[in-house]
Amino acid sequence: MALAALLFLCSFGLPSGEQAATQTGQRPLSGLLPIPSELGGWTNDGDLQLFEGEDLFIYIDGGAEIYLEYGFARVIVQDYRNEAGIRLSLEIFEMQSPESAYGMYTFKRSPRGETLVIGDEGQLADYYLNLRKGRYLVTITSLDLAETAGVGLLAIARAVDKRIEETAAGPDLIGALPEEGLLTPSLKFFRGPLGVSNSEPVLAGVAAGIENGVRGDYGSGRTVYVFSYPDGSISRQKWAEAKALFSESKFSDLAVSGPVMSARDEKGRSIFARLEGNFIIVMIGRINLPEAGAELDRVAAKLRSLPRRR
Amino acid sequence: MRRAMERREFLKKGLQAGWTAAVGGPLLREFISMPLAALAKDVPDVAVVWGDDYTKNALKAVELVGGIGRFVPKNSRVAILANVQSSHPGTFTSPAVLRAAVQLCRQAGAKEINLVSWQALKNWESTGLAKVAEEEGASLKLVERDEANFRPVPVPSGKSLSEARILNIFLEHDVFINMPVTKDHAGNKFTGTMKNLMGINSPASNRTFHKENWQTDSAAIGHLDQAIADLNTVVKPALNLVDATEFITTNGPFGPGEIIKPKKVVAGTDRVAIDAYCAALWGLKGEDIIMIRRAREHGLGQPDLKKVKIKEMSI
Repeated sequence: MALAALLFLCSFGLPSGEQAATQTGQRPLSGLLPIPSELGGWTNDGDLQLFEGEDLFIYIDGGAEIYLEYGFARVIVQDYRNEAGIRLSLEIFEMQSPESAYGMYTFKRSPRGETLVIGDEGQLADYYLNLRKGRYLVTITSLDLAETAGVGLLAIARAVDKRIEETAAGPDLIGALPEEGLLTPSLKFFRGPLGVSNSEPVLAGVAAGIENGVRGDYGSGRTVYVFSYPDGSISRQKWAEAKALFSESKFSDLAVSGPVMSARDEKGRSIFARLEGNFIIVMIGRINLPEAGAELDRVAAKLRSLPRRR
Repeated sequence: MRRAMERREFLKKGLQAGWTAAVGGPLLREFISMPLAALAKDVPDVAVVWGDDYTKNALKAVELVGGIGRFVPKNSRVAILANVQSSHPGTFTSPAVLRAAVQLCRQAGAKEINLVSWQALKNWESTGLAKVAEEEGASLKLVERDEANFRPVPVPSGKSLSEARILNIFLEHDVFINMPVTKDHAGNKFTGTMKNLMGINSPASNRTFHKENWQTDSAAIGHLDQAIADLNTVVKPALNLVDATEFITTNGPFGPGEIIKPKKVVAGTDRVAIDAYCAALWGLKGEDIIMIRRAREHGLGQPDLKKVKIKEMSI
């Protein structure tokens, strides 16, 4: 009884969704917010906001689709302001799974940010900080591009990190990418074609129907994609679509040999692809045939060694 | 006299096309009646001005496309649509550019200058746009997302969108100035003049731009881009004044993301040309943006920048 009363008191003043979460035993996201002593001089600026499911369209008007593709559950938003008037905005996204959070983190992080030892992974970019931990993705932004905001970004990030108890490693499919020469900030994890389209629009059709996918850039000037499909019939169908795609006039030099094909795009980039069971591997960039063959073999071998999903 | 005749001529054409009857207000006829023929021959289709003072850039850009008098008649009621989608840097229309637009409208003798929106006051305040409106004497006309605040407008040539739902209050104006910030968009890859018009269409209608059970496949994205182009066939800004000063090129439209700073303001009437120009600012080709291709098919403008008269200058 006393505990119920305490929960009621703690939830008083929270957005209705947070109160409902408390009443259903679901952990309120507001429980992850920093307490005042952890804020390093920043105080709440405005009310806490909560958005769940497709209500995300209200908060991220016109841009919610990518979060929904990755698997969005809910988000809370709290803005802060310090005595100098510098503003920060904290968003804590609860995604549907650790893979969802991982994917959205890779989508949002900067290609040039500074890696932080925080959460399962974290990065500080020019004016914002992203971290992922378990199912959670945390984004903190300096709304005024203030140089002095960095201290606040880190203070808030550490406080939230401390409150998130679950952790998760990256998805197994990441292990399919060759490690040598991989530019880590370029690594992206996909859950659907929209994410892929934002990386390489021409591959969006091939990526329709994926379970997930990964992309990594390499210092040698090539990019490797691996798409995982639910079963071999879908991957074979997508392989046929890829052949049709690379037959279009904007590509040239299409050559197909069994489960391997190559072509060249309008920018003069070489494209190599390989069908490997439930997977399609695509390599784009400055790479010659022998190198591509060896690289495709390495990725295929890694795929065969991945834990079986079912 | 010239304007009166042109207005009558437009009304006749508009009735033939069913537009005036559809909208039922003075909006479209005023937008289209501005006499292009009266312009000097050297007026560009698109004007681009860059420099550190974004207000001056905007003032100059409008001057280059014929001056504010071309777009805003004396005693007119002006509706301005800025982008206040997010308060993350590089995602909303620059207050400095808005300041120029309001100053120009006052200079032209506008009777009212209203910033119309269904976005919350919080957005206007946190982006600094509410403060500019107050300082420059423009009014915020903000309405709830309630569907009663929107009026159905048929889209006769729409392929994905048969009916838009436009803000009632928007339709009470004589002149529409479209003021997006150009930026990345995870769905369409690009946002600019045409996508900004979703800001006067009802959120519920905007949701129909996304196919049911949205699966983010190419058909769904094509549907969204077609709906945006369709919407643009029934709402035609008198002037587009685009903030391309500082904007995100990743994680759009909401951010935070990578920001580039071309420090440019772009003005003109051809939305397709302007969007193609702005897309090129961060390496995109207009022909690769589905929305731009669909708008071209509707005859809304020219995406081939080689065929567009562009005047660029720095100040």
